[in-house]
Amino acid sequence: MRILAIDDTKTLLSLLSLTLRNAGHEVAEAENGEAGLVKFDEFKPDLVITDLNMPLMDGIEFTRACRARPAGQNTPIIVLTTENGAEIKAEGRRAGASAWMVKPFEPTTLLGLVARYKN
Amino acid sequence: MDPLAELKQTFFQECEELLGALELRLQALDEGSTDSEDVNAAFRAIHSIKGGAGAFGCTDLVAFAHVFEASLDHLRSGRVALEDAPFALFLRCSDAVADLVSAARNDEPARPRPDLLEALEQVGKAPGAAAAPVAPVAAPPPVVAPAAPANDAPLGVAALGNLLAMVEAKTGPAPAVATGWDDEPVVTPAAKKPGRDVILRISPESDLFRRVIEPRVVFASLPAEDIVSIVCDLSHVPTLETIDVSDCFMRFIVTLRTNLSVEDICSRFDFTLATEEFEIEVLADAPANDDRPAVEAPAAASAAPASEVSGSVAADLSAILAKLGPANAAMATPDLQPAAPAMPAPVAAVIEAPAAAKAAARAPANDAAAGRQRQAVSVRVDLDRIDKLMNLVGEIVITQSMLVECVRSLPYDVYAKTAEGILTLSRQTRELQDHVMAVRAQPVKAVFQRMPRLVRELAQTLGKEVRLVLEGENTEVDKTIIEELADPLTHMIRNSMDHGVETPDERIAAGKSPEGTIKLIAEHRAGRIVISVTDDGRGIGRERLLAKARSRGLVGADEKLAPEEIDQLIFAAGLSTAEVISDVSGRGVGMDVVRRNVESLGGRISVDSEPGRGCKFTLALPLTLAVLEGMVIRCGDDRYVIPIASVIETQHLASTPIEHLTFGQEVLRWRGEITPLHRLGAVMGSSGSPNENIIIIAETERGDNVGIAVDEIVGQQQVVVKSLEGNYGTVHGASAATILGDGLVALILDVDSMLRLAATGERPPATELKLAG
Repeated sequence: MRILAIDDTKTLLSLLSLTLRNAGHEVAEAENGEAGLVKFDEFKPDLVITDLNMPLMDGIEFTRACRARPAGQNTPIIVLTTENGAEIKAEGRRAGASAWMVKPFEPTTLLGLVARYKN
Repeated sequence: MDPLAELKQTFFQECEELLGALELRLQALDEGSTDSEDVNAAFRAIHSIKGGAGAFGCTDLVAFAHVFEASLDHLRSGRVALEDAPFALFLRCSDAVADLVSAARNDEPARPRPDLLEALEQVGKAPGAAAAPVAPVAAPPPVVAPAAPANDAPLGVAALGNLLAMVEAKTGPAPAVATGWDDEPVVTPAAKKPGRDVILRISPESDLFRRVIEPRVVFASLPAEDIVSIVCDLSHVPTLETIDVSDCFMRFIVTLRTNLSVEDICSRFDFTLATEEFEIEVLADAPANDDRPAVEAPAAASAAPASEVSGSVAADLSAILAKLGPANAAMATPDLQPAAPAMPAPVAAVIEAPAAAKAAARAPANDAAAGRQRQAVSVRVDLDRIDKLMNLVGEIVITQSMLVECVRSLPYDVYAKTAEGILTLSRQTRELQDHVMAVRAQPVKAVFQRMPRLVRELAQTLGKEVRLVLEGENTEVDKTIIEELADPLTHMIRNSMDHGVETPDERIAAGKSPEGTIKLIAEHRAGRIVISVTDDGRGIGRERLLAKARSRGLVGADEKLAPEEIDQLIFAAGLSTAEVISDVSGRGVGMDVVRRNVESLGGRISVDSEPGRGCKFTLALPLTLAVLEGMVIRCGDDRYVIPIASVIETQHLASTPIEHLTFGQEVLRWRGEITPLHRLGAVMGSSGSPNENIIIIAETERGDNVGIAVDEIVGQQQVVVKSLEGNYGTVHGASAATILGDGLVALILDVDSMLRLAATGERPPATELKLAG
């Protein structure tokens, strides 16, 4: 799968793409929502995994912006964040996020979630 | 290094920063801060540490951080009031986390801290926090009345983990799901196994597809072997004329034969489905090997969807929605309808998923947004790369000054043209250098931050009460110096804690407050960074120190020493006056090693003590080890560089009246003050015959002034510092050397060291050095 990973924590971003790449996915990285949108348009991912709290454009705004463009309407967006509150999740749902996963992530767990979106 | 190990290293670096932030915030809170951002930042820090630690499999660290995080969360959510919070405990825990991090980093076994863990578990259970609305950790009973607002956070995390683990185990849609898209229920072997029959009624909101959630993804979160049947209810699909294909009109009835608890099932839909999008109905326990297919479910499903929403949940829900904004208020409406009539007979309970009710008082999103704005955009660069850059800039500076020398000998018309270019080049070189230096500059905070912990731990070990005051943490200094600061500072503080500050009883007896104070102050002075550690303890015990020095033969039996000279003995090798050898200091490898290290960096350490009143250690280091703005002077045949920062002013020797003191010391009156005068040629042993014309008034580290007589001022330029210790050997009076434009070596004078040399009369081996140049 072509996966766009967005996270402003360099370590986690690298770890995320390493995990995904090792599982045979093709990965593009972005360090915030704004960069993520640019990458989204040029990389055309099958799936997006985004952090929530990021500078410039956060995960919610990114999801909203993504859903607003034709190409982004059918791309699953997994929010991978440390947040786990009901309110923020409701906001994520309204923005159009497909799944929510709480950091820290277990590589196998994450890959399992990603695999659900295959085909 | 393999990429994972490299990442792990980066993570540990980040941990250091996070730990610093954590400690700083906790400290602020301990000192009475009520800023919610302090709480949030502390929480985020430990959360991030936990996150990374989990990713790298540091289980001990995760376990501890998890408990720590949970107790900090009590503060964040307001369950424990700030004034009731045990910050001293939290600070100790942050130390423990630091230990765990370093243990993980070095692959060492971590010291278990059951005491701290237990204390942390008590946070939020303390009587003071009894008013908390929710039992924070206790799991809700298996089947709860819908009214009970439950805290979904811990459950959600754990359950999500389980859920994903199970999905991972089969990585793909359940077989039952793959074929279960007709109106006819698909009965699977699950019907034959033991467990309770559970009916799930899933009525997704019409925006399900817009969230790119396919129903099969929803079902994949249930254990495939538990699914008895899935029925799709298409009765709500509108006619083709009116249908909007991007909306979801399907409803599903899933029958499970499962041992999962209701909460567990709820949590599997965490996020994918909102609480109002599904209902769970638990039928009676099915005995093992019951052949009865569990297909009453669809029949039951045709009954009106029962949605028992109790008043209190509804109120909470509407409060939350109101908070989220009027646009969303409509969402609440369907759920607030009065409940439908009673359910069919086998119903045990209808349960609301727990997520809805959550204390509406929290507003973490706002705080998070504020935190985001404060984040500076930064890049991590390997220090090696900056060092290479710095070296290169140093070479350019030398080349440039060589160029200046060359150009001077050109005929005038050529020179005039070239000079302009050279001038621009030197300005740009200077700018380049400043910028590279700025990249390397860091506030001393990085080192200062480690000290509160040291003081805290020592205070505990020694049974003393000490307050540490930090000043000038933002003073910037070159990265190379930062790294060198930690060791001497640690020693200085240890020394003050161990020997300086008295125990509370002793202090009270001496008429002082029981709590001692240690001040750690950083400032820029005379082109150096000066850091002082001042305590208000008993001062240096001069008699004991002197007696010890005599017994070691460091001081002759009838040698008389001035009080200040006795104090300096603290830096002599092998002297420790601690009566009890503690694990704090007293191994006799303290201050002498510190002084050696500091001096090898071109720095200096000194001590001022006042018996009974306290003691002050002053550490002075150059701001950078790389370049120096210097005044090039000549004395006899030799040239020297004196750091421009040390120079106050210059004047002609001829116009200055010189007086002689009885023991041969020359002094001059400078702005009304008696100032000692030294002749550089004589002090440094310059070759050639000196003919002093100029007096340079220079400042010492202690702030005293001194006159230095030299032959000539050659010019002022930036010089690249080349270490003498590393390349040649120690030269008294000089801190380093440099290469001048003509390719010859010049010593960089160190005013204080030069004065000591003048006092002792030791000569540097200057002649050999010149040959080397």
